[in-house]
Amino acid sequence: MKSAHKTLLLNAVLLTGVIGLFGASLMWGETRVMFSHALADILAGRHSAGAIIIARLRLPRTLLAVMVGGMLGLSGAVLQGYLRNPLADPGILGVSGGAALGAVSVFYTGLMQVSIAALPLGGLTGALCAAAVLMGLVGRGGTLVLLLAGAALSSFAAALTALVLNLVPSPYASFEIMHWLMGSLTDRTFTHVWICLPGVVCGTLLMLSAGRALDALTLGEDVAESLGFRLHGLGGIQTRIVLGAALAVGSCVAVSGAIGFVGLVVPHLLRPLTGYQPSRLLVPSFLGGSLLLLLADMVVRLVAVGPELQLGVLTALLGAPVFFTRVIMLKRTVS
Amino acid sequence: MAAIVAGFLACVPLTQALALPRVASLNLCTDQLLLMLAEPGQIVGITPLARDCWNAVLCEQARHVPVLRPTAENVVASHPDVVLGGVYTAAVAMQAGREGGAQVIALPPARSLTDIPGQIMTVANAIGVPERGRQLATAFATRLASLSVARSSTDPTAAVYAANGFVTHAGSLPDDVLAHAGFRNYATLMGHQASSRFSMELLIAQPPDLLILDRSGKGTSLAQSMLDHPALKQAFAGAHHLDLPARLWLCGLPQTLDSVVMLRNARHNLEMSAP
Amino acid sequence: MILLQARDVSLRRGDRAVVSAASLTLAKGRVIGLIGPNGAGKSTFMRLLAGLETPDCGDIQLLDRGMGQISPALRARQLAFIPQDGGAPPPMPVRALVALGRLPHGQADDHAARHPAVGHALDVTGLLDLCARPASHLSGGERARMNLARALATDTPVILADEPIAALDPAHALSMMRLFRQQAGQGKGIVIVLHDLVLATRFCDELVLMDDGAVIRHGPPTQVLDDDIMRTVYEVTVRRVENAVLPWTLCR
Repeated sequence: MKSAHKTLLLNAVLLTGVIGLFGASLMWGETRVMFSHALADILAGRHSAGAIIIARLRLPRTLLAVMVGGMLGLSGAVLQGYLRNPLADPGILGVSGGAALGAVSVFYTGLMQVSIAALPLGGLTGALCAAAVLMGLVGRGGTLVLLLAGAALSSFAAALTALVLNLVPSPYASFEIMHWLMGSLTDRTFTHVWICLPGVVCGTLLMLSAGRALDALTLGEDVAESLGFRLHGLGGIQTRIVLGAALAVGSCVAVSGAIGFVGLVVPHLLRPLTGYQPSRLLVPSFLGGSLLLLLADMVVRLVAVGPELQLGVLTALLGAPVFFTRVIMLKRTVS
Repeated sequence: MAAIVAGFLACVPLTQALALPRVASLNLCTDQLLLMLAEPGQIVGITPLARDCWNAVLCEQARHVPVLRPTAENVVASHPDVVLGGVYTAAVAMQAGREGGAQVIALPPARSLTDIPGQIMTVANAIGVPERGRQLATAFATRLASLSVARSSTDPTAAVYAANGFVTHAGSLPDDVLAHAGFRNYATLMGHQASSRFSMELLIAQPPDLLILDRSGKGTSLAQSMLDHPALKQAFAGAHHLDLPARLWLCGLPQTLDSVVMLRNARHNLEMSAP
Repeated sequence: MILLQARDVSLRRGDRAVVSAASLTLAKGRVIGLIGPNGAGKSTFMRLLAGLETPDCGDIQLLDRGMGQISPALRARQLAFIPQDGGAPPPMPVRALVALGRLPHGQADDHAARHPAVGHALDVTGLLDLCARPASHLSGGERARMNLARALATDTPVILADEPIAALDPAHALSMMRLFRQQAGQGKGIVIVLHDLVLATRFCDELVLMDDGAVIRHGPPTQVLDDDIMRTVYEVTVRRVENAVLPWTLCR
């Protein structure tokens, strides 16, 4: 079978999964809702309990799971391709942590009252700063330098987030660190969907535009440049990728908190199915990320005992083994 | 010269109140009772929380008296004659007061409206103003009697929904306020699913007649923004929804009766809006 | 016909002149060996020739157009660059990696992999049997041939290769040099950075000798590599041996 057909088939399977889980996520929840009645009520504009639960509670949450999961998966795949490092992930590199810090600084200090757009902008600024610091720290350093810089950056960002949460006036703020460090989609609204959307669209387009360059980069920067790709400077591949990932991660983390490991696990699992070609991995990683987060969100809702589990806890349970495997593989190649 | 005059003036209320014991309060509820009962100058310190208008009805008055963080060190340093506190908080500071020779009063939280006159008298006696206490307690009892309505099993239901989705259960002051205003507590009725938190989805699927949004705390947080979720606005529109400032029933005070009035009005509106 | 010409090209890094006033002229069908001791500036000169860096002064012409005026995409269709071996390639199939050479022509994925130039490149480098294998499994010699195949797939008049045989055993090094020679025979112009002076002498039409960033001598191999140069530049003495397998041996 031609590899293009294989990728197409993979995308079709993943898309079917996303659509199926999307429907299931609307239908299943804590309470039993007659889906067909609720749908009729929504279409008729009646504010019945079922209609409100599906249209106002479950729909924004499900849409955000698709968007946030997709963005994390895609930016993981793009960052891994760009840095030629399978351990790159917005969470591990501290980009998500920076975004959370930016969002927290806007949300709790009341800057958000000025304009609702301040929230994703805060996330974007945080993510961009983190990415800039990371690039500055790592330069052409190898995997270990990258991981060290990422670990330092994310714990620093987490500490600053905790500090901000302690300093702001709300008595509840300091208990909400878990939401920002682990992520959750509980009680999100359509406002969150709208403020997240522009960053998601622009970020996706920017990152997808770098697909061919990522292929060329598998052979190194010099080859990529000699094949006619501009890597640095305005409009170069680096700008497109860093800005795209920061836009996507920044606006998603601003509404959902930093959900870890999605960007690590999804490309890792899908890479062998795409012939290890970075450009082929992008769309499947988006769909796979959506799928994973939809699934995690449903599990979180259905197995709820006591207060709801943070989404990031589940993704970490899934992602940490992958991370460990990668570390062991790295150890083998180093020694 | 100006400094001497100012110093002299500052001494006047102090000398007046000399006969009365000097009182420190370590708890928001005793803070407010103290503010209502004590002579000015009698108060050594109240907690900083009393100046927060989200939590305290007497926040304005609290600005004119000194504040004291409720720590043992502060209690020892200010050596008051009477220390007022709650039963659960600042235990070490209260112990320090006891060892320093002060009379220490630990006031349990008010669980019902009828607890309140007794609490007023306890504080009034301890700080040496029993007459003022009697006036306040009598006025409270009279107003309570005029407001209370008979309970019935067909009373509408009401849920008290607070930040993070916490719901008020039986055995608390707000629960008693609901009963006096003619509401059945939704949380008690849903008892078999009892947890202290209710998800929005559950609340909308099995809605109470009245949703009371119990806003507390300044600033912005995810916990607080939950109460502004559009789904709640849509599911509990008009007469089915009431914003009630938490400070009214956070402590058992004469002002707590204002919440009974608000709820009785809400019940009236519900009956009017019913088809 | 002149394909690539550099005139008095200089590049400074900090206060060190890495390349100073270096010149080179590459004509169609020729193989130029760029030689010199480690640190002489050969790799940087190659990056300048490849358009990956801009010289501080001097001028580089690619097919009679200034390097600065050519867009990266057009340059990539006229000049292929094989950098020093950067370690293990990704586990993509060999054919897919060679097909990346079609990217400058706007062809990617299956469309590129099916292009005749890719098949031809795999054929001449002897990789047809290996084309479905993951590139990460290739040996050093196969990897070197794959890098050449990727450059050939672009089908450019100019090929620049930086130490393509550095890590190869004599047999593989020899076959790589034959491949370059063969491509020159078909009209391409090739510049190769080499450390093996024997192979350089045997396979290159012209040698360009660099030391301390400057081109100190260029011309036919026998004229460039005399005893004097070997002593002053490479700091070795040379003993010529008549009728031996190699024309001379190196002594400490």
